[in-house]
Amino acid sequence: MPMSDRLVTVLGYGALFVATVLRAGHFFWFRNRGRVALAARGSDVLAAMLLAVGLALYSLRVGHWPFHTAYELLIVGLLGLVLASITLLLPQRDGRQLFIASVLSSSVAVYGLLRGGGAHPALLVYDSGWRAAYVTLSAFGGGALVLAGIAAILALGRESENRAREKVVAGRALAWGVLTLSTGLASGVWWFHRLSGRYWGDARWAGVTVAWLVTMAAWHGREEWLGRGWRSALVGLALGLAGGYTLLGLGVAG
Amino acid sequence: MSEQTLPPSTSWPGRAVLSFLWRALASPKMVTVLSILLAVTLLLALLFSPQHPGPPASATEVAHWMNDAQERFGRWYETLSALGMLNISTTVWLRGLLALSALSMMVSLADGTARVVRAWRFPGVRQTESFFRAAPRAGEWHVSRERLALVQVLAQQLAWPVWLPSSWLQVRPRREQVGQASYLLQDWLTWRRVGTLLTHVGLLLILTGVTLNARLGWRQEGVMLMPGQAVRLAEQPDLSLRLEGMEGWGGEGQAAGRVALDRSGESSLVGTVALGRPYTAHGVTVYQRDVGPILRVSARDAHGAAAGGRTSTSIPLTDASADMEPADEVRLWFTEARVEHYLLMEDVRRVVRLVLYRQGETWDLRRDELQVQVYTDDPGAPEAQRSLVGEGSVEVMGIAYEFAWEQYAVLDVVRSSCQWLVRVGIGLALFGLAVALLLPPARLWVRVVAEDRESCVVELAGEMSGGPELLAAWLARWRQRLGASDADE
Repeated sequence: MPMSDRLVTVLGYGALFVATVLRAGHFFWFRNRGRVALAARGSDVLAAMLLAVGLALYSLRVGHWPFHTAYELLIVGLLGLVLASITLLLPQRDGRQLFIASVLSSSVAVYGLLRGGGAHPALLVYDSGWRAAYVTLSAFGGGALVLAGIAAILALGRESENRAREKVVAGRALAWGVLTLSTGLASGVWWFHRLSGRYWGDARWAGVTVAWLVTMAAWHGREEWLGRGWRSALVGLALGLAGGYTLLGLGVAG
Repeated sequence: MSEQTLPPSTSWPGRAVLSFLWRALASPKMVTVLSILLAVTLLLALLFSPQHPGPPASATEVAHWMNDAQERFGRWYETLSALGMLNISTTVWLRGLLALSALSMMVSLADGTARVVRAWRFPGVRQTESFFRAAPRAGEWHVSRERLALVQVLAQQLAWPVWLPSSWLQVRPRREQVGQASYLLQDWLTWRRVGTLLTHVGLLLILTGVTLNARLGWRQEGVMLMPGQAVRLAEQPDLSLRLEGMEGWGGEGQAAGRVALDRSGESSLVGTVALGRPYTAHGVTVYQRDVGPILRVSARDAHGAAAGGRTSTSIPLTDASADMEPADEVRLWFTEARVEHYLLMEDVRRVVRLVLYRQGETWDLRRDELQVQVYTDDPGAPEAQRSLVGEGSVEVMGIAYEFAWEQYAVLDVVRSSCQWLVRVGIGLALFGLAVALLLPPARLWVRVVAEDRESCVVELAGEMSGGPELLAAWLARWRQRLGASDADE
């Protein structure tokens, strides 16, 4: 990746990180300080612009638009998760969950920096769209599971009557994880079926299916899953591992 | 009134056992346990990979797999093989787990359907007082009359604000007047149950479709055809498959083949098949698994002289790996496993080695390099060597070699008559999941208990999966929006 688009993309991720930290800081330490909130909003806009410019530069350099390799799709899925976490999933005015978002966004940035964008082959059957859906949705679902796992473990640190927010975050992340992972898995199965007439592919399928089964287990036990400490910790850990495993597997496959 | 004696209860002893089994199979705990067991099974399959390639695999593929597995697992190979760890998809316990999962889904489907029907026939709003009293109380609010309409909106759009845009939820709440009290009921839990049932139906359809396809269908894999060649299908001899021609080169998977499916006595159906674009006709589907290059080679004396008893200038060639007579032109197939060929030229006592170097992940004959090495009687280093990209001719030691490229296709032919069941199942399962997950997990009753010209008191009761504290948190946001205060404040 040449210096120009890498620099712009890194700056974009940095601005996103700063926006999240500022917003968390605003509610943690600088309550009712309008300037901090304004800075966070400005940082958001700056992040969006820089990321857009970074993607445009990248596209100009490689000669195709930026959803062409599994790596790019993975990054887009993860970035989508971070933005959805900040704007949709997380209840407003809660610094703890915003802290999760900042951790996630910085993880995406680190992941993006470590992997780079150059060495990944273009998708062979990109025009079918099914593989693109498979990778993007599975990445989103895997990230949502990680978020659900973190929220479940965070809930342990609070009294049982004060866990409402963590339960909301965990429940929503789990719901979106189930839905996107299922849709991703179905897209992957369909893509592979159009390639070979079989429903079952290689180890990547098994990895995503393991994550899906763990999520299903957690989902069916959801009525009680935050009721007791150890069970909650185990479910949180399982979800985190399943999500991490999905992301890792997709990353390796990319 | 005359006294009536009730007959003694005649309960069948096995009924209790069946009832226990029914409850156990329909319980979420069973699903949790089965999901975890299936996940562990898949993890074992990942741990002990490569797994056996399965029944449609050719003998060569099985031999390759066995070689790899023995190399990887060494002295543990026999033990793992005996335990079924290297062929988990065929083990009795995995099939048992899948059958138990299907049974659990069917029982829970029947159980859930009965619940939904009950909820429909006996909705809470008609039971008014008793049902309302039984529901967890969510408090009494003091609301101004101007904002009372918003109470209805609250019940109507009973959704967590981020689940879906409010405008998507236009289902009106049930309303009933009982005496002086007016009740509103909004119930999304029943719809969520319907979504869960649809998901179960979808999963059962997928399992049924896959099983029927495996039992009733067939596959013929790895049919290698060059343009103009045809083959009769072994599983359905009245059908034959012909490759009419290839379009485009193999770079980035863009090569497409024109195939014809001929049924004896009927006209043939012609279509295009490419990677990810199958062609279906006469009830069978043709998939393009791979494409590869065929090299057409001929040789002639560069100076136009005939030699070795020949009357023409062309020199006969023999493919060293094939049992065939010398010919003026030979066709050589290149595959992933085979990228070099030897040609014998007995008339001029030479051997030609042809090696194709692939530049990318897939064949691309516009970039791939062909190396031509010529050996004389003396074995060892080649006498001469040339490289060629694309088609053309090369002159080496007085002999001109002509090279032209064609493509072959490797096709899989599959008959799967229950494909539609799988498609419907996937669609239904995803739709059901969306309904079950995106609708708010709550029901709420609202009752106006007192009112005057300026304000009124509404009483709320409801339930939300996840616990009463979630309902309280959700209602607190609504209370703020309505500008309501607690009735006793």
